[in-house]
Amino acid sequence: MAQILVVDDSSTVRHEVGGFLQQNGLTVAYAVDGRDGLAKLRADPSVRLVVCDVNMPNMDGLTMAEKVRGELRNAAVAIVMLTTENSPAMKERGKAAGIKGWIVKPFNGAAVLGSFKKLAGV
Amino acid sequence: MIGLQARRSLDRMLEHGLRNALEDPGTRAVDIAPCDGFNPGRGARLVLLMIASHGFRVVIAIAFPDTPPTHALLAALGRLPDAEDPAAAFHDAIAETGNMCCGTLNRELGRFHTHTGMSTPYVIDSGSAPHVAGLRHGYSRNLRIGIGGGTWLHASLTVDAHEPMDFDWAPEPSPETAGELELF
Repeated sequence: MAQILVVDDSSTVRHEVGGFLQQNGLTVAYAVDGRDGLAKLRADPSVRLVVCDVNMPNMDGLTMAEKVRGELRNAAVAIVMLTTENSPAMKERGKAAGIKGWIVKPFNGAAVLGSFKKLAGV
Repeated sequence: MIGLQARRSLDRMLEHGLRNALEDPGTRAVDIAPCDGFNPGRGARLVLLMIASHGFRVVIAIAFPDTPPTHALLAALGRLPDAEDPAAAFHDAIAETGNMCCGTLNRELGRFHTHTGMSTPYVIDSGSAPHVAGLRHGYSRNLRIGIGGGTWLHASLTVDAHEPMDFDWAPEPSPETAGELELF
């Protein structure tokens, strides 16, 4: 049972983001790419917020977001992209998939903690 | 095919990307200087990333010596946690550092060229460095990067253009939107 799922192929980012959220009282699960993220969400429907990279092997984050809404029919989970990308076309694709927000790396935990807690329903 | 303005712009973008990935204002000086060739030496790991569009391909290689000063730098950047598998942690830390640098170039190139795409990082041995110089290219640039006086990295930028490429870019004074949540 986790409140937040962090999806990134970089263990460095998973550790940085997940560690910060755990230090601030949130329960966190991890996935290494979009395919793994989809499997983790299927197994744990209690997740309220997904923090997800875009460029990942096997399945990218935007495709994962589309499948969360499509295949999993999960409209409840909030998805936020955390990425080096900032292209309007990608953001439009994300919006069409129902993502809630976009963060350009580097991760600044203090700047987003309040919003994350709100999105996670904490 | 790659105009002078574009070459200078790519140089500035690479420096900007390296500083974004490595600099900590006020605590860690990053000195970047051009150098001849891409010769990181033995024992380094190369992080390779690519940005491509229909009109060009950019390859960025950054060499990280696997030495205590490099580990200290990555730890100071918050990218090298204590881990059960230190080799895997080092691999991921340098990959993410390369990702941050290349991501900056990708964003800035996206202001002039739509439909760019960026790869995930590949990490290979520095013995492959001579092949970077062998890539077909219309422009290349090699840099030596000194960080805090104790760590030396090398970076190489290789650009191959399939159509005329020219643009003029300079860093914006305060692009401080990084890290903030843009809500939709």
